[in-house]
Amino acid sequence: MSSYKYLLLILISLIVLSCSSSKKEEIKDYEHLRYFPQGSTEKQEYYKLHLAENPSDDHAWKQRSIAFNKRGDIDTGMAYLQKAVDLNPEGHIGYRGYVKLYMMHDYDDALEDFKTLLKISSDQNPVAWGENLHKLIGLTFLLEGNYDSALTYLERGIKLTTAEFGADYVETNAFLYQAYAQFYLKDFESALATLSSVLEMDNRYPEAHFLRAKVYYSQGKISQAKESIETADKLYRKYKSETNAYYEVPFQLYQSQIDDLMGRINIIK
Amino acid sequence: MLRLFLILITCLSSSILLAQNTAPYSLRTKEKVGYIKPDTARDNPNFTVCDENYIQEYYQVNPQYKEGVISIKNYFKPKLEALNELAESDGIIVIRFVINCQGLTGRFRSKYFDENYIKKDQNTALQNALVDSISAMGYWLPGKFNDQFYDAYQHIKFRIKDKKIIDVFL
Repeated sequence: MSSYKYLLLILISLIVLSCSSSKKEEIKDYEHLRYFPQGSTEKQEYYKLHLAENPSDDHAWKQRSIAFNKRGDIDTGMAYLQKAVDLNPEGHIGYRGYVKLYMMHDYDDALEDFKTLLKISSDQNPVAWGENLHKLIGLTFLLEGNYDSALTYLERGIKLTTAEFGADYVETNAFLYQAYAQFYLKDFESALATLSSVLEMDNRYPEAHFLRAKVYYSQGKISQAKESIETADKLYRKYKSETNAYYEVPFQLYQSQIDDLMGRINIIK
Repeated sequence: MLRLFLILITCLSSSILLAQNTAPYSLRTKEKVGYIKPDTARDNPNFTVCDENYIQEYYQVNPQYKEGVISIKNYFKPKLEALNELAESDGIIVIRFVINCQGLTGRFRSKYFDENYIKKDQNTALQNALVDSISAMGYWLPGKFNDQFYDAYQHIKFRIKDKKIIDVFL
């Protein structure tokens, strides 16, 4: 009986709390559409109605663009994203650069967006959609084949982040990209040094072991190449490579690449 | 006392539901952003999906062609020279299609966007050739989640620069 009384007391309290509100907010008759999934007809209807009344809601314009860009309707997606950028450049141009880099492979335009953010940001070491901006610029240059510029920005990002937060806060792929730039510039010793530092932080990084095997192979150091590629193979089979649901990660590693390099290394006796 | 308890539970449930604007449990997932309406005039009549009302997106259930993007690039590598003959202008072509829960593909739709992401009616012959190439790729690993296979939308993008396909990607 007494447990019923306690339960009754709790229920009455909850009913009173759920019914009362110190702040009466006007609820639009389309507000319920907001809770539908991204990309649904209902959610798009919500954005249409909301933005008709609140055309300067830059966040809503950005959110509206996402499903379109993910699903290949990129004229619509980029048009909505342009509105967000026009309303709040510092808030959204980095994200647009991110989309252009990873989802559109539009490296020239991505660089333009990233460099604009670098210019207008009040932060000395800004981020764009959660990634270090200097790293993103460096990666974009790397993918364009401009390895010297890539190194400049990658190293700057690593240095600034280390100074501000410590080396542990530097994204490990920044080092991988730095090592790739050094490798392509045929600065093999620097590439090996960079790979050594990243593997000290995380030895279970098959991509780094794979690149190390490539470097050693290029130098003719076959026994070291063999050891590295076998480590890469073991780690890849256990942990796979970094992936992303929306796009192929730059320098994503595949088993066939490991097998191919291993075959070439093993041919040399 | 038990009756009072049950009445209170009912009242509390109603007030919580009203306060939260809960979405309905049954969603119209068929028509949404990126929906491909079946077209008997141009689609393969033998292509069917497992659940017309529940076609997922590639990023939800991860269908895959052989090893992934590297296999798609390798598939197109020997075809690029011939395909480039058909390129009229620079930009990006997106081919969106459905992979059914058995790994078969169909309902191909293509779009060309210029370098400013404006949709244009150009590169038609190239778009058609790309659709033919993708439809000839064969089986995909169907999308899967929690041990269940799903129909899924997928797309492949082709970046054209100097009237050459320079990149094949998702």
